[in-house]
Amino acid sequence: MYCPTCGSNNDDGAKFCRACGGSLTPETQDGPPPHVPNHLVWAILVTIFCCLPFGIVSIVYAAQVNGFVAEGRLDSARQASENAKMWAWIAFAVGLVSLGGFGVFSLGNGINLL
Amino acid sequence: MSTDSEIRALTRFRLSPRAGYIALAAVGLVGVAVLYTFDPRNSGTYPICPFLGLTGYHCPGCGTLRALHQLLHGNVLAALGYNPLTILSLPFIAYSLADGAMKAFQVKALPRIFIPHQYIWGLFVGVVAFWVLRNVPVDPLTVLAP
Repeated sequence: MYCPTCGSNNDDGAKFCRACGGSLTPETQDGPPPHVPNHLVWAILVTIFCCLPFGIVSIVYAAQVNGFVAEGRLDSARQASENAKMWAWIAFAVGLVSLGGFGVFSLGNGINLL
Repeated sequence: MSTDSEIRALTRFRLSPRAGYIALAAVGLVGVAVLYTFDPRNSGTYPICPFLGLTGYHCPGCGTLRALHQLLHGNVLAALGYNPLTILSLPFIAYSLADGAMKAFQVKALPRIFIPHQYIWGLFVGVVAFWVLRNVPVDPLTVLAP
């Protein structure tokens, strides 16, 4: 069974996508609007822990996801969802590299400012 | 602006979510133990914030480790003083991570909370304002600095 949100392959009978957490139960006409993940928790985590502005970009895309979902524009919501995820990963990677670099650079000076 | 296919190619690399949550739990447990034991104010255990090191200005995350250390020792007010953004985000972070982990392990989903987009825009404005204001060295605003 393929996830309608991100296209990942999942076990048959799975209720949620292993990759994006989206619902795998078929969408019905009267049911609630389909879930498009906004990845907001990752946006906040990288904003707090990675020290660089890219996490804030991810927050902007998360806001767009929920705005598009509320308007019923699901294709735009999925696009914004991919962007939110991408910028969270970018923030994570840049944060990891710069923290590592600064960790080595400031080793032994005994200052902790994070 | 990236096309859809470019974005897909960039995000195709994905960790198995179960492995990801197990790794996150391991990092979290080690982090809690280290943060409880070593006070970030006076031990050379932790790295310096790269943004602060490069620019001399505090970022929205500065004070997070000191805040979490205080919280682990039960000092909520001191924790809020170091970084209110981090402490106030913790309930949302805990709920979202618990929900994501439960879905990854096919347990069950927690009730979904749809946050109206206006609130997320509010968070964006709040984070940017917090970032700017905690760097202003004028008296009432200095409480925002870690």
